[in-house]
Amino acid sequence: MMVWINAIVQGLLLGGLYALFSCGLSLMFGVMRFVNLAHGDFAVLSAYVAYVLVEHLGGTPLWTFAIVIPASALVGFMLQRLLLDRALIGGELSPLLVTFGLSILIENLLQQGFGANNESLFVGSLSYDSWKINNSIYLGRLQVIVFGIAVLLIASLQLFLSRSRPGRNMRATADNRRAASLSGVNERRVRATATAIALATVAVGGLFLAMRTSFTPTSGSNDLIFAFEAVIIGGLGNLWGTLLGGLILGVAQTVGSQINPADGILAGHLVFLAILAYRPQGIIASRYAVS
Amino acid sequence: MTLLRLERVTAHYGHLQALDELSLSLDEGATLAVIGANGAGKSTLLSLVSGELRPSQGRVYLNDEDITKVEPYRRVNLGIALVPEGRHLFSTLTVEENLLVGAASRRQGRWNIDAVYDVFPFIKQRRNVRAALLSGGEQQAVAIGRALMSNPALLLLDEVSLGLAPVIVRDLYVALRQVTEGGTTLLLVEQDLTEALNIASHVLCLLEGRVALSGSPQDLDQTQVVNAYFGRHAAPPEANSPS
Amino acid sequence: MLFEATNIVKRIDSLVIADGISLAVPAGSVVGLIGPNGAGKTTMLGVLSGDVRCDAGTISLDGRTITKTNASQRARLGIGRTYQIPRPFKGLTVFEHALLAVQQTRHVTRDEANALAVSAIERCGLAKLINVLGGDLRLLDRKRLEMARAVALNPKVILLDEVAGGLSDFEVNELIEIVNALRDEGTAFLWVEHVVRALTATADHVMCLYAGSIIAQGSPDEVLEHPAVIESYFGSPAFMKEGA
Repeated sequence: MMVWINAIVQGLLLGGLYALFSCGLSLMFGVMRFVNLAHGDFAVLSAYVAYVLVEHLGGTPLWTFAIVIPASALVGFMLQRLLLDRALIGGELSPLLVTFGLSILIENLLQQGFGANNESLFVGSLSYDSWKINNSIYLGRLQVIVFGIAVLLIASLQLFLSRSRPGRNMRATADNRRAASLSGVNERRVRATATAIALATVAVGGLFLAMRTSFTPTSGSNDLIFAFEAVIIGGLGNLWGTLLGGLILGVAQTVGSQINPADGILAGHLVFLAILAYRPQGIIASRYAVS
Repeated sequence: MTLLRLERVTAHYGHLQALDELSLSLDEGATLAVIGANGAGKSTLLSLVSGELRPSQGRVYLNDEDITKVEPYRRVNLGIALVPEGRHLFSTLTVEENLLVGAASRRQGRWNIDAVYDVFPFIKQRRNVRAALLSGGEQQAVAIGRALMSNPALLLLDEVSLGLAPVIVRDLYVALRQVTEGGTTLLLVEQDLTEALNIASHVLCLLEGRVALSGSPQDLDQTQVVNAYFGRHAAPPEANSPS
Repeated sequence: MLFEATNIVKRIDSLVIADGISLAVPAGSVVGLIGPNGAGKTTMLGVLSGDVRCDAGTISLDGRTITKTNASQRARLGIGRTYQIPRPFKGLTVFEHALLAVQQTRHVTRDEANALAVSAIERCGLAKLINVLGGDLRLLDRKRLEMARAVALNPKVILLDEVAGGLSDFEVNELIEIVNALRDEGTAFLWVEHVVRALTATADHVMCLYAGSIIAQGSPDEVLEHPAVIESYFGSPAFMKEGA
């Protein structure tokens, strides 16, 4: 019995990480109907940047957050302004092609630079310290921190969207692009901000994932799939939905693992397919997505 | 003082010619009603002023500044606000949020959220309701209010009476009269000619992309307007060079 | 009577397009149909062409009831139709368009099909452009091509759907000439149009559709001066106060 409860608890903690990965994807899609196929690769890229920083400047990887996150936001902003805005003009296929190309570019550059080895960010005892609840349930310290940050981040994003002026402009742009521009909203800035937020949050996810397990130049593609699944399960364009989707995916994977260690990921995919088949709009049918 | 000037603008949608060398001049404080049959070019005219469409020829001036190439969102900053046909509210945002987005350009002036509620009191009690749930008349009021929040010098209105009962249209025009009294210049496209001609200080009748009639309502009679609208007694022009 | 619709009833959801409308197109005449925006003129045209099923009423051609036929059957029977927005095939020449129109509808020999196509092209003023690709045509010629495709079947009556829209003054005159020439050869027309000037120059009879019925009909001048028509377009029969 306890074993199952532990599986669920671990799944929830894992789900927090997935939610971190996915909220950026959800935001970009909500605001501009943009599917960024390089999303996972940016997470891995941030991990490599942190890796290099630690190699040269030492210390615990935790300080790299202060550099990597703002840098990711800046990269996101510029990427949208210089490249992705143009992709949007080309029609629905164009963003997919452009970000697909970007994904391949990033993965290959990383491979050139770092080889195909597994790397990891060592955070010392933080990686394995845990709180023991009872004989079956252990809460990894890092995992709990990640979960906490995920919830905090999503809550902050939600607050930003619902209460702040730029957040409101962002929701307006997602709702009716034409009306937003006729109201004086600078669409380009709104889009660039959304991408900046997306890349910053996925960088957080990438760094934590790197601390929790290992990463390679191509592991971004895998992460992308989980991010997608979390977004779809939870419901497109709704951040709390994305959190819920992440949690459900995490639990599906860990419970599946408990049943058969090899089938954890498969269980996640099966849940994803079930949602697509029976409730394609997601658990929380979005208030924000407009037909 | 001339606020808006269009200089021989020609506009196309693909191969379709929508406006043909049209010129007009609008004074500050005036209310211009643009009328005409479907396809005459009325909405195209508004699109040129709002910036959503670029002319294939000709120029648009605001306060003698050439704004022909200025993007729509920046024109809001310059003082032009469009209430589009079909309202185009942010359906998932509340009434109040819709109005607040209208202030995105941060232009200052007499219009703020309280002033808008004063002019449209019936939407104040709906301020926290999502726009999708409002009635047609309420939506139109919010659309106008949202445009007012940018404190425009020139307010453009595209068919505000569309789909609304006459009683509601009358109330909206009472509100619009208050807007004009505050000094805002109005350019409206309207099917309901009774209301349009009532509020207008000037009338422009378009026909096939050209001006068929222009003047102030007191100087025109109904037959003139109807004939201009239908293009009657318009002598077929001598062969212009084909495009 | 060549082409006749009797007591047509058509509703779309709660909107009443036609509530017992009757109209008639005598052979060799041009009948115009006007009405304010949203009155349902294009839907009515669809009912006549067979693209839209009516809820009740009868349609007959040359005395024969054809209410239950569909658009392609009616095309074969002699009812041609143009569409509001011409969409020519970019990669086919003008000739190929006309040929295709003939072959899709009639079983004729290759020589007959060619002759019909060429004749239609000439009658619509496209002879000089016969080998030009559809994508390279300017708007007026695209509309001519639409006409040629309808004319190629030698129809008894052609239904025109707002064909004058988007044309310059000069181009509208060209269009009027084509319609008049075809009418003189014996083709009848039912013409839905916003550009009223085109109708005043060609139509023998004009009808105004509004709120589900024909509120006025007669000569173009009669209809345009009719108080009910003015009210439907402008909101009131006397929409300008005297000395306001």
